[in-house]
Amino acid sequence: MKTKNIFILFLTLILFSSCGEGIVNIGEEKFQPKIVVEGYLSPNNPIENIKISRNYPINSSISYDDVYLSDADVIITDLQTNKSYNLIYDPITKAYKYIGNDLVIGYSKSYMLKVKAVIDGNNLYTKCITTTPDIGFKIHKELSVLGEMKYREKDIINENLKYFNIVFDPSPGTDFYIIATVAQDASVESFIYDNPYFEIKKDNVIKNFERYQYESKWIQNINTGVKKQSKNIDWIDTWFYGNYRTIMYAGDKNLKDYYITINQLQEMDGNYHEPKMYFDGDGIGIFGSFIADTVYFKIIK
Amino acid sequence: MSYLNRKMFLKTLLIIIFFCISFSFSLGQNNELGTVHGFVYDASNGESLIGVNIYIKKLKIGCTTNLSGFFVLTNIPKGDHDLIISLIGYKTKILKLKVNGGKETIKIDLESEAVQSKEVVVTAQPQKAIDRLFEKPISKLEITPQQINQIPQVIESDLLRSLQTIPGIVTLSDFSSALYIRGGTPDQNLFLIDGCDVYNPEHAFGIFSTFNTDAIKQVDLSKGGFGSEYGGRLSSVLNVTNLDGNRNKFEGAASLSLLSAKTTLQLPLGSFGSLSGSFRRTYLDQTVGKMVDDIPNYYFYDGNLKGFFEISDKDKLTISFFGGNDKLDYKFNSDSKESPEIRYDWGNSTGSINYKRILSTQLFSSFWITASRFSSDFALTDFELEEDNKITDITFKGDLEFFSSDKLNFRFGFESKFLHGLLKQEFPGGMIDIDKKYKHHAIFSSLNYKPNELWDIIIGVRGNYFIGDRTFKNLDPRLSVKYKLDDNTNLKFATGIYHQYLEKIPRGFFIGIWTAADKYTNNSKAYHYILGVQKNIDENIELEIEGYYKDYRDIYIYNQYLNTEVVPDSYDDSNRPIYKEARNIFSRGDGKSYGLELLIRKDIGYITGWIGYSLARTENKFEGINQNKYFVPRHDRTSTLNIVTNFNANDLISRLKRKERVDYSYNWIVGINFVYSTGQPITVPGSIYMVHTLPDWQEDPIKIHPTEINSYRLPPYVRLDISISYEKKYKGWILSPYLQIINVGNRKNVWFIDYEDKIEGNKIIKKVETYNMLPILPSVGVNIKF
Repeated sequence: MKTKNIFILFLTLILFSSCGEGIVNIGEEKFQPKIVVEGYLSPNNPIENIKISRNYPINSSISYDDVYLSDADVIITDLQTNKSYNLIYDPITKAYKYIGNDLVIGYSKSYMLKVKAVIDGNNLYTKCITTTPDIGFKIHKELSVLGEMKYREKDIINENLKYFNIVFDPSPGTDFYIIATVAQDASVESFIYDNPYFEIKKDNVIKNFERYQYESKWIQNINTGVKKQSKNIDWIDTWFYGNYRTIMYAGDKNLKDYYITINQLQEMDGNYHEPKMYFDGDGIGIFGSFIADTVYFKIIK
Repeated sequence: MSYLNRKMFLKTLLIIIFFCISFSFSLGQNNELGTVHGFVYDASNGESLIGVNIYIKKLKIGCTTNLSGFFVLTNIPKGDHDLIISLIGYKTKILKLKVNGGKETIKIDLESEAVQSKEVVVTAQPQKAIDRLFEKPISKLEITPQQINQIPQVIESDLLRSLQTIPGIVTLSDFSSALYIRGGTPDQNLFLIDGCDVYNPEHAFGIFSTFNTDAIKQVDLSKGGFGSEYGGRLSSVLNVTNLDGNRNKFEGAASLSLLSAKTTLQLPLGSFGSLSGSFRRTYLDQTVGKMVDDIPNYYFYDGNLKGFFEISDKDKLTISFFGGNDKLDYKFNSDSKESPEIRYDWGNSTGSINYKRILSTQLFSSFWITASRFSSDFALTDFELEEDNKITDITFKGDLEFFSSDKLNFRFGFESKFLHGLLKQEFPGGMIDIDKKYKHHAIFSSLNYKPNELWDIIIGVRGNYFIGDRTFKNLDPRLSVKYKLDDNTNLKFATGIYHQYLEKIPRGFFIGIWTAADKYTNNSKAYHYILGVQKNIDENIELEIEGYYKDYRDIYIYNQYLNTEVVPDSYDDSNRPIYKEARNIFSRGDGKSYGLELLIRKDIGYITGWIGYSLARTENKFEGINQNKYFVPRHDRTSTLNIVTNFNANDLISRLKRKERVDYSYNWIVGINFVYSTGQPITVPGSIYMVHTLPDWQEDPIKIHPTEINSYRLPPYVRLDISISYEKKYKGWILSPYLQIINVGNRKNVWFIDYEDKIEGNKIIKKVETYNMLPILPSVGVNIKF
């Protein structure tokens, strides 16, 4: 009888312990305040959109109105001349800008951003350097396949799929490019439901509207010594009928590494990785530089 | 390596081997004593039996059969002796042996018996259980197909999943059959089928393993401290021996589960040998796949064929083949003719020829020619994405065992591997074309010295010579010491250096790619230190406690930033980059694992099973990760408790009711598997912030910033599985339908965490969302034997 009771007790114990639910409770003790930088420099363009904000603990709400810091010390240093320039906060754009006319961002030049800010009573500091791409990048619009095309239109002669295509010259030494496409006429009605990729319902389009509207991809390690290279716009990057704007960016190393790794933050097994960033101190985000060129095309029914 | 260095290296090894041989011969010469050798077979089917204890109680001398079922007893004084032959699951046999000072060759047949029967309990093993344990190498476990089949499993029995119930072995999730042994990663485990390496022993993206449990004769697992006969891996060796085939009569088995159908057939080839073959195929593609749209068309199959040929009493030949394939075909939009498709086809094929010869009474030899190949082909139509991934291994190896005396045995051998790794990948942005050949030559020797019945010492050395882009030469010394502390306690210690030259690149959905130490990566190295105690709690209950420390040098982890660091080697005519080197794929690091394992095991009686507990810690550091500081990897588990038990319900109820007789014409077999483990470490987001990843880009700017790597522990993992099978014998047929319930308590074990944006007014809240592993999962099936 004793054996029987022990056996039943043992079974009951393991049965009870194998029920229930594992509770995940991530406390705020994991939170560390950081200065968040979103800043891009582009040769021959003014410095007017350096956004300085802060991070927030998981499970807290972010208000678009409160996230940006208006009282940070933000300085840009031209590393060629070692001259520093103070940026001021613009409450309309919620970004820092340089209002003088003695700083012109050049090609293949290095600039350092320094930020000091007080967040939750902590004095924080960060700095980061970017080197702008060299002159040379441009899209040959006359050689590119743009204009209007039917969705997944085929060549009349060989029945092959036709593509919008961008022909460009790379910048010497810059081997990373991003093609960012925005559907300008995107709407639930203009969505291409009859596509060969996925069976997508209207609810899904509404829920993930931005994901379909904004598509981007990168190309890297291109042969920078060769001009007039071409790249197709894949049909899987276009989900709506109507007009499209495509901006092609030649990016520096900061932009390249952040852009690639921020999109691979989570592994298949759910684990997270820190994106690759080059901030010293308490900074996260992106401070990079680029040269951009823009083209337009249209998909018709 | 220069010619002179190579010459010096080989010379050193040969001197060591020569010294060992001379030493063993000098101690072994005594013409006044007799020698007995032979093979031990299962009387019912003629299969050679591994690990059988051969013992002369009066003289307190004994040995165990090797992987070929061969044994040698030397230095037996002239006269009559009782030779006791025992193995769990078989009736103990006592042979009258007359030794005249010469050499005797005997063939022993053992009759099997049901381990759960009362008779076994009555039949105490003539050799004490503690002495049987003493024979076993440290950290080594033997597991039989019967034990594998009785552990409740996801849908059907699986070898690697069964091993996950042993202390010191963990996995990452319910969806993985991968083994992390004592802190090592899956690519640090050496998998052998009939002596042949298997590189990716997995089906269904790792959910199931490639080993068909019906075809297995014996599984030996060494969790560490293994001898010099094994090399090339840092952590463990899993040696699977398949059935040779029934030499007496035709025998068959078939199984039907919700996943697959499989059969194993064995037949004698006259008095000459035997043949065994197995085949398994999943059939969800033919059932559910025909009824439900939009699910991938997927199936896998595997099969093996093995022929055993007894050329003479001294010569035996085994030819073995194994092949397995997974096929996946998935159309993104089944309603569209132009829809892109994934076509993925991968699998292993192996073949081995093993020739065994008794060269002399005391010298047993075994030679292999093996070939192993893993290949995968992937294509994603419409995106110009194709991949061809292969690794081929042709190996020649030999293993000679010289049984010099009851005090001294000597083992030596060689292994020559010719490896070819190929990865060709075409994608719109470029091409990977890595095509490399390697050679790995090794020679090994070991000396087993038993000065008296209390001590058992094995000193071994393995010399490795690896040739690729770079040449590596390494000496791996190994030492194992066993000591009988008292009549009921054994002490064991093992240490050694282990080198590994191959690394596997894990790729999530895709099958991993094997690559080798080259001009960019070093060979990996590990030091093992293991100390163990064995005790007999009862004649049938064994207790083993082992503490271990492993020190890793130059281990490699997949570089998560590879995409940002990859550099092309050249460009094709279309100016696409071509990558020909496995450069920047890994981050180099070091690590350490230490822990304490406890195992209480009962293999005999009406209740069998084990209770295992492991207290462990693994810490690694890698260049460029976590500021080069140590951190715990995902597979680190502080505590793991496993309870595995099987019992015959008829027997148990009869005992509880104190009945004298039990009806064994039918059986209700119950299996229980319970596991508790500390939650796995995971990196979680520490904060959220807003950044647009491109200028002039208005997509969702909310981003997640992670905390320190793997600094958060998921909740503890707890699971209880139960299986019930009804076994009915009828005219030589045994029919056993079964029911298995995985996760009986339907516990929600967290797999990983994700985050969802919740918009409230102009505010965004990130909400934690958990993804769980397997819910309660019942499955049924039937096993038939004829």
